[in-house]
Amino acid sequence: MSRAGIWLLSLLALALLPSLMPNAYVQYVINSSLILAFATIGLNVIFGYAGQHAFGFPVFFGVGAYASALLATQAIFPVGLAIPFGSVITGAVSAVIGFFSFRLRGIYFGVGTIAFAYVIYIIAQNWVELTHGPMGIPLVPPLRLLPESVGVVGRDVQTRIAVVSTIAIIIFGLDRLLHSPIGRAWHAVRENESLASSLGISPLHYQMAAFVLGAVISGLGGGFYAHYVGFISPTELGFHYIGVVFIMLIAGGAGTLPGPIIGSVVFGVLPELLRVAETARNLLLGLILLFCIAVVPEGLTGIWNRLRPERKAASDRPSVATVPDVAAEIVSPATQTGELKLGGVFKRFEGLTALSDVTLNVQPGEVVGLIGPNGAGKTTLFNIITGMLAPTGGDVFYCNREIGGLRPYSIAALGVTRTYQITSLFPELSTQDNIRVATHLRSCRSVLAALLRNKRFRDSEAAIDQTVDRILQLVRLQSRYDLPASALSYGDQRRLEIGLALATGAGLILLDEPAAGLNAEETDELCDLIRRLRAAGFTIIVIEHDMRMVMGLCDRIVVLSLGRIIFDGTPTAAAAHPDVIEAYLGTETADA
Amino acid sequence: MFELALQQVVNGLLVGAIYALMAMGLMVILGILRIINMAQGELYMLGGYFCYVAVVTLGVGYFPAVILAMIATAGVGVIIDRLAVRPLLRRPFYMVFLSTFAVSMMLENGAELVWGPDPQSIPSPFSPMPIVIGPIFLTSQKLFIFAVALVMIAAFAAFLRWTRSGMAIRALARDRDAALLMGIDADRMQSFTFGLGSALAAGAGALLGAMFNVYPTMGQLPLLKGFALVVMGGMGSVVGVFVSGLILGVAEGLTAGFLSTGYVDLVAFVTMLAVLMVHPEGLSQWGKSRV
Repeated sequence: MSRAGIWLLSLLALALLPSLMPNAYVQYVINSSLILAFATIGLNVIFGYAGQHAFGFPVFFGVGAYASALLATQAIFPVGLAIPFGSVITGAVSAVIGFFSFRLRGIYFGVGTIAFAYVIYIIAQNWVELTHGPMGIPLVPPLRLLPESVGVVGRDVQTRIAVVSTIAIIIFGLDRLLHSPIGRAWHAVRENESLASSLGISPLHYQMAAFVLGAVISGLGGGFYAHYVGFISPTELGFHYIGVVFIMLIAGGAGTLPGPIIGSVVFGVLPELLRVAETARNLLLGLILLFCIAVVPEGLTGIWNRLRPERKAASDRPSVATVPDVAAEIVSPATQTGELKLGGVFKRFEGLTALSDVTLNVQPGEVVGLIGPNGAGKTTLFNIITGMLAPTGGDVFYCNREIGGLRPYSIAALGVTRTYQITSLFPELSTQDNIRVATHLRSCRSVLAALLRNKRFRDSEAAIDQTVDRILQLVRLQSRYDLPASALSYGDQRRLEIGLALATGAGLILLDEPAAGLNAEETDELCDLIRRLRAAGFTIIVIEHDMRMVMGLCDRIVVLSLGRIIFDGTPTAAAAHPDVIEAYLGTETADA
Repeated sequence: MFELALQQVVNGLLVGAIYALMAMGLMVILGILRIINMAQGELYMLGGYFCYVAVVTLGVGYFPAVILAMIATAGVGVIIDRLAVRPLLRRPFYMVFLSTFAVSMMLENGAELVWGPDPQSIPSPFSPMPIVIGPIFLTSQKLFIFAVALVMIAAFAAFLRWTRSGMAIRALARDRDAALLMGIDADRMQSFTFGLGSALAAGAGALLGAMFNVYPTMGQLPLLKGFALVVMGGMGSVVGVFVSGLILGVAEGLTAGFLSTGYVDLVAFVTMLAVLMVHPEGLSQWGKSRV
């Protein structure tokens, strides 16, 4: 059966089967669990997909509940409008909270979101004129799909049909988003923020998008909840709820599509079935959570994946006709090639001057070797050109545009990217998917296009597939396209990194010690690749300690020592220049 | 007006000292193990209940009961570390957050099952008669709590600064790998740290529980305020956390006296968020150098 078929059948079963239960309480429990699935799906967007540890996030479920209940009781919105509008309000609240929270990193981000959640709780407790404080909002009008006179279908059933069909739409939309440049960008940001940034993906942009999208989904569920239960109080904003939603997500399987729904239904219904729920509910939920963390950290969906026979990798793949040189064809139509101009660049770190008065021009199509002793400031210079660091003084121009101080993703979008001294890839993704993530800047990134799968989107994805094939061929990894990057040999990984840089469509590529740790054969292969890139019109600056390689490969050598350029000229002249020899070998001393 | 302000400042200093005591326990765990121990609030709660049990059921005097509560809670802390924290150290850090959250839910629920949801009062030997110093009313209990909190914090600071174990803890906080190479037994120190942090929380719970009663959910707010203080005062700074605690207590007292009693609890979070907006990494930088 197809994947869509399984989904459709399961959702139909969720909508219809509970009606067979004669017990009204069981119906209530199942419906509440299904409604909580919105909170879990919302949390999954920010926690599972975008990888942000927003511990206070489930509070948006309660925010949506309050917003919708207030709209219906105070502003007399019809229920059918109050729920979506409440969700929009939740989105707006989350945008404000996200704006501040994303200034924080790591543990502080998590603690910050908890603090915001608690602030919301206290406001709901104390703004009595609006929220009735701890008393809550009673008599929230119920959601009716059919006019009251048509009394055949019970309210439980109506709510369940509305809830399950909304979940179906959300899952459909999320699935399409995940299999689009947006989903790939979330993966990139989750796994390796700085690499994502140098591939042209703005981490903050996609983190915020996930934060607000998740809040909108949670808020929608909150609306359903308020109108289903008919009463809402600060309890729904409290820590108990936050914990329960986390348990549902982790136990179901974070980062997967069905995980949140399975988790919500199983862990919404299970404690009730065990009948001790009344008094020992949290004791039980806590035990379940501990058990899940210890035994199935990847959640219930993880068990399913474990049981499933190992997916056989498709072995043969329609490969592009081997053309002698594909390098020219991977140049993106948007690729800009132009001059890189550094004028009097300074960089100081609290008293230490890492770069002083660096002035350097690199012409389009040049291969420039940047050499110098350790600590000379080579990587700092790369960091400044690619936006990882802002220069303390001086200007950096590329294609006559000032790029000094821009963020790495903006600079990548203007056509400058880099590789890292320490191998930096997305280890879990396959070789081809690594490259596919890196094609972000070539892709069609509109949310609407991703949801509709219109012609523009399909064309763009098809072109990306072709680009991926060509890059695989160029970096000689066609035969390993389906292996996870972590399974590649070191030499292959280093070539894959160059493939990633090429995929961005950048015209200027900075390679930070690409040959470090390679054997002679691999180094030759790398030199060959760089030569082909030069022939295709790429501009390359390479930091390298392997002098044989630098001398043979580069059109020009720039030597940095103690943060200054001490030489700029041809390789042969560099080898003979006294300052270069001194920087590398030291001054002659008496015993020499 | 002035009298009210003065009274609120004095009350604030008292509450602030307890906040600081609670935050010390959090800080020593967060600063060294980089662990958000969500169960710390329940250790505070357990401190209160253990003290209650010692006094009411076992008939121990109040002062030894506080000590007993601290020791017993330290044991609970060590068990939590063994069962819910140590096995997860190689996993992503949010796993420990979730597991300690689970422990927190279980302890809170467990306390409710054992002692019931209603607040219990710990009988203490203090006279309810206020001591009047000028315009300020104080009880001997408040003075005692303040003094004990100060002594505990001072002892803790001295321990960190001058004992071998304290030095080992600081070394671990600074650079775990280097500390391991110097022959520090990280596992043992981790248990010890957890026990120490738990005992400090329990001390706070037993002291404050005698004044405000003990109940199962009493740990939630002190946990969150403790986090706020650790962030504000600097990850590893005893002095920073202590001063922040006093400031927070006074700010809350003045808010309650002059603005609104309902929004008192906002003070800590709004202040913390404001601090974080200015220093997104917390004030840990100046804190680190003076662990």
